[in-house]
Amino acid sequence: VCTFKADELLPADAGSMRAAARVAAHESMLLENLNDAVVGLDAQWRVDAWNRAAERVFGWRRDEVVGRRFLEVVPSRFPGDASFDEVLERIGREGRVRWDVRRRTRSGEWIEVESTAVALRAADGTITGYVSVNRDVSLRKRAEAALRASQERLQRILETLNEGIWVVDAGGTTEFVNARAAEVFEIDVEEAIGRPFLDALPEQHRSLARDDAASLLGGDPVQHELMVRRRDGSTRFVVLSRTPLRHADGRVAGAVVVLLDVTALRQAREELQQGQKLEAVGRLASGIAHEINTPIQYVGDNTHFLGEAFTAVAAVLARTREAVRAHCSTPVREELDRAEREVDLEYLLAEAPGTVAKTLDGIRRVATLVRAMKEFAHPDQKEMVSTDVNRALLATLEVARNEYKYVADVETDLADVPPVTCHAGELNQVFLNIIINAAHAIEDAGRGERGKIRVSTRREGGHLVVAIADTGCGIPEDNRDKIFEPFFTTKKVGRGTGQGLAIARNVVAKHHGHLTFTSAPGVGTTFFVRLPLETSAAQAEVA
Amino acid sequence: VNEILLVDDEADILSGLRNALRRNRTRWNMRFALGGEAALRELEAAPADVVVTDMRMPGMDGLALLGVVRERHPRAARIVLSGQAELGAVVRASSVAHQYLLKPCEPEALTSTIERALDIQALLANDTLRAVVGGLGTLPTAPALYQALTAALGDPDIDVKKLAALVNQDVGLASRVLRLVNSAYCGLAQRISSIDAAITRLGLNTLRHLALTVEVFRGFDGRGGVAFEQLEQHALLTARIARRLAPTPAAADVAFAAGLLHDAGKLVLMSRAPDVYERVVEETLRRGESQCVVEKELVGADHAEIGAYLLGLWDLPHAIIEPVAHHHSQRYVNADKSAVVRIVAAADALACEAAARPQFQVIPLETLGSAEDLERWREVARAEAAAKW
Repeated sequence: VCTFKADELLPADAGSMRAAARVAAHESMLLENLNDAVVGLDAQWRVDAWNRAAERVFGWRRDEVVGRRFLEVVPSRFPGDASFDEVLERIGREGRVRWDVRRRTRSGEWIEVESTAVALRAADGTITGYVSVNRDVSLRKRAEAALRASQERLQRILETLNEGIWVVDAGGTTEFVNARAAEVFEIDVEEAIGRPFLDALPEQHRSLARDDAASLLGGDPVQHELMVRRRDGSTRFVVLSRTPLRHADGRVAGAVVVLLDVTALRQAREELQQGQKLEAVGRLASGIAHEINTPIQYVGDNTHFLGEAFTAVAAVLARTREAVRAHCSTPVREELDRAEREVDLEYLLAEAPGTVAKTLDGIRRVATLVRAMKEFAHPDQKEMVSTDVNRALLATLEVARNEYKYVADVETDLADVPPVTCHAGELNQVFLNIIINAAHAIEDAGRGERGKIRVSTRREGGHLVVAIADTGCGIPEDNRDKIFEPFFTTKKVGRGTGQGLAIARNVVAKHHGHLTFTSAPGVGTTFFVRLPLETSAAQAEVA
Repeated sequence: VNEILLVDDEADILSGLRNALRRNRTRWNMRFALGGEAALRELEAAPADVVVTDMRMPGMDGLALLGVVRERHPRAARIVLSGQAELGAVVRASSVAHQYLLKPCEPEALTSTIERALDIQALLANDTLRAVVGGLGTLPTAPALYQALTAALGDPDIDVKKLAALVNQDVGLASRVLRLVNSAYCGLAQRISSIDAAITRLGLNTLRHLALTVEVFRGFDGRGGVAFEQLEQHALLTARIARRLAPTPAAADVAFAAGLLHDAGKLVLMSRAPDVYERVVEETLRRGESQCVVEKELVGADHAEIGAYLLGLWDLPHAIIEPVAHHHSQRYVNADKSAVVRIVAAADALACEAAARPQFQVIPLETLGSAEDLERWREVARAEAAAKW
């Protein structure tokens, strides 16, 4: 930088001299008041000018640095870790270089500066000095970094959120979709961006979300539940809440849709409800059983009595007839014959005993059913108890009879197995579900003939294995890994909730067991409930 | 003619029973009472051999009625016929009832139960038997702990801690009960180390049967030497096998208790008439005849009768007395009156076979089950005999 000495440059004209002095004063003032640190250097990089901003930025006073080599006072790192020679060479070659340089201040702190270096040349082209203008950009850089970090954090939050987020602008166009939202609707994020909300949804979900789309930008926040059918046939339950986004002045700037998958919650709730239902049914069954058993007792007793009474009366009648035929006159015999014909005595004698027997059979069936109902539901059982699984299966078959009696015959092959410690009511529910599924599968096979449900138990090492096999339609290959998923169902509405096997698997897992199956389409399916026996050899040894 | 009193709060039930049981009218004189109070009035007017009552009745219920009957008419057999199948109700009733039947109950089953109760009563009233047993000197009184536990069954608010304290008072007894619990139920996942735990894990009903056995054997302690120990071993093995053969958990409990006590009569003979008993054993071996026949000849009654008589005096449930009384009766087993009798008879035979002690003449296994049954039973017996206990 040139430092002007007014006197040396004075032209003859005093007026122009004053003008030149004024210009110099102005320039000096400008220099001093610049926000950028300006450093003047001679050809050897010794400092000869150092404005106030330089004092502030680098921490050195002018009088401390004038005449010292700049880079000794302010160590610096150039882009690409260029050496001093390379720096010089580049400035010399280009005349003016603008780059980001890190410089060390007096306090030892490294700061980021945007630096412009200019080479000053004499008329013959030799370099006479340099000017370096430095703008401290540390703050800006830090702010930028902080902003970037904050954005990244926000992005990370949005992407890791369990909730799906979908943002549209004031025109209803999708601005942002996080991965979870895309996953819920099985769409591609890239394809959704820039398209209206409804258009971005797959065809099958549009009807569900039409109302939401229509009112997306207006009105109040809304929350409701959606049932989303997935391509793989499973069902998800999603709570959708949408909130308009507003500018500071209240104008609608867009909307945020938050999607929360509540499938698991819903399943837990249904399981709880099922448990409560079971308990209620159990209590009811127990009460009804007591009430039904009283009339059954005397209806049965009286029917037995009627049977015996009829037999006795018939015997007496037979002897009476013999006596009449042997000893009475013709008119008396004819009178008796007529009376017999009037009531069709032959029929009565032939049919009455059988009718009594059938009635007693019916009473026994009611009694069996009532007992099975109670055993099935186990109302007074809160803890796991030692349970005869064979008995539990028979009770369940009794209760489920209505489900299978028109489509299938049941065969049982129950081995002599030790008891299992379990919640009998819950296990019965598992058996019931599988048996009902078996009946449905046989019905769906539509062979027009009765199918077979085979229930068997056996011991396999430390486990009791219950196998329930049907001759139904089988489970298609595609569905095999899904049948235990909550809400997965291939049944018509009203025939199944898709919850049965999911709950069954949970119940069996709770008993430290396994629920598995094998299936051949068109041939049938066998479900296996594998439960640990309470006695293992090791445990017996301990005892 | 036996006097049977039937009690219910529903007239329809009573008239149904009157009709259904009518066929027994030549052998039984049946009377009917509408409710507990009416039943007591009937009993004051004339005693009954058997009382059959409902449980849930307004006013005096079945539990209260049977409690009074036990007190005032101890010779009457007490049978419950109830629509309540809850475990709690059954357990409470078992503190006062000899038998518990569930409604609906077929007339044949009710008839058979009443007849078997009368059989046991006949045993107790049998003068010959009474004379024989009387000649053996005083019999042990009813086990105190068993009685206390039985009484506790009737209390709906029984406190496990209090009960446990009761058992623990007699340290020797408590430890023997626990040893029995752990040896008999070695299938239990954990060792049971306190009476509290035994009560909650096994239930009071099972525990009282175990306590009973311990008390019975202790009552005869130290009087039989090696033979006594062998008998105890045989009783435990029989009980364990019987428990495994039983079709239901409830039947398993009864079978186990009956198995433990099936030779109670031998205990009586061994301790009260050791010389005679020694001769019985010798003669049995020499003649190769049934021990019961020899006992009848030399003692005047066999050990089954004597054992049943003793347990009858102690007012035990009929389900336990019956197998004790009939475990050597081929005829009774063939009549198939009670599954538990067959099971105990089979377990007895299996235990003898497993221990290779054929001198204990028993009902031949071949007459007790099919070839298939036998194969399965023998496997069970081998496993139980080999188990560590």
